[in-house]
Amino acid sequence: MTNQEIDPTTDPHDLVTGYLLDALDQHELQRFTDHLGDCDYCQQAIADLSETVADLAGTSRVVPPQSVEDKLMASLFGDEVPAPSTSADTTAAVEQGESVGEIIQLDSRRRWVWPAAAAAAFVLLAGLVTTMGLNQSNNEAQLLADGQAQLVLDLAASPDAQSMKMNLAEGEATVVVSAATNQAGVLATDLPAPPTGQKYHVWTIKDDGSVTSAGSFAPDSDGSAALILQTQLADATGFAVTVDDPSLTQPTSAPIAAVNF
Amino acid sequence: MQSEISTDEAEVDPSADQLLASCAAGDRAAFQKVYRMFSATAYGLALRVLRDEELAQDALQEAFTQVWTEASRFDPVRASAKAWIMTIVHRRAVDRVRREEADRRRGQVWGAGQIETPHDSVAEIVELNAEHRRVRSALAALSPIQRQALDLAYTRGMTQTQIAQQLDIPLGTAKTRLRDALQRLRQEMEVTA
Ligand SMILES: [Zn+2]
Repeated sequence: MTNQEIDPTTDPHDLVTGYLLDALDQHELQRFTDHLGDCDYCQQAIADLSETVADLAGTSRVVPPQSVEDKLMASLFGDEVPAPSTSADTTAAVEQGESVGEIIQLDSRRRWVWPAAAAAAFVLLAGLVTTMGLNQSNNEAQLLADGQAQLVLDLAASPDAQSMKMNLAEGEATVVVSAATNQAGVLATDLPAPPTGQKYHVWTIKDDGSVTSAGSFAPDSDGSAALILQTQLADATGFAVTVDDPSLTQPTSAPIAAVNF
Repeated sequence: MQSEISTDEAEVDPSADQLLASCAAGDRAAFQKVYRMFSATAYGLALRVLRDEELAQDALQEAFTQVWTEASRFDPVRASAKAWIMTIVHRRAVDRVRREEADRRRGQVWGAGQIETPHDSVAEIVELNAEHRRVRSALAALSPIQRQALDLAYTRGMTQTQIAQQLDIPLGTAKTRLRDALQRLRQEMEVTA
């Protein structure tokens, strides 16, 4: 076959870009890998450009269904296939929460299931919160830490996760709620920096109209932020965001955004 | 089970590099963390190449199986954990798309046009990712023919030879175009880094 012939017009160095992009046919791939071991130039080119190729991968994140992880773990490790039930999911999430220790404080004593209808009825409402100002105990939740974004994305991967966009004048924010794991989180991008001494402050609005702090965050230099909220979903009716002093236990200004359900 | 997730060593989140080293030592919990860290990017990539959820999920599972079995090959000096894993994912996805293509009549797959990216709530969330936008703006700096060539290679899984045929250009031109596109992209990413 022609596969054994050498094409004199093709310099093997030429194949390095095709190699990086997986754009070689089998014949070319064989030739290139034979060549690569002895060629500093191509090795260097791969080292220089492989991160750029990896950047191409990062243009579209989509959280896969939990079943992929379950099948993967089962095929590799055999034992302990998590059943696709709510209780199993909750258990898995609690394990995961414990593995990241103090960052999330799961209320494992109080598991409950969000009524599906209520979860489905989540709607966006902007500027609705007029009931703020009632007394409520302090709930310090200063949770900004490395890995928060991943934790929120993990939360979003929960089978029952619901997401709600918050209407902001500038930037975007999405609240993620998973009833099965009793967790909520916020992901935000393109937020303007808050004034000195202030932060974005998330508040839980409870069904009796009271308000408690669910944590505060400052966006990074890109304007991005992620936060796992410190909140109990059972008696929550929504969340609101203010820009204020993070040590406040009650809001003193009108919310810049809110979601309600 | 061999390795339960430990609650004791949770003080510091280990880096992806460290997690892959732990995978090489047989640490299942580390592997689960690696999966959760990179599965959304990996699945997004597989979906783009394969444009079919079932195939993409198969590719994802194959790729992470390879990550587990070949974790000892990972060399943090040569590549980041993300680059190493995405290389595996991309290769698996491209292998599959070529197998699928072989099963159908030639020409039909590539002409199939854009399919809808799954657009559920979760996909919307992940599109908020800032990194995503940084890459997009770097891609916008490429010339249209560079972007097209890169898309045919990286996203459609075409070989350089197929690209040359598709675009009706000499093979050498296709190679040069891809090389220039990747170099330009690298420069742009460095500018915005
Ligand atoms: Zn070379």
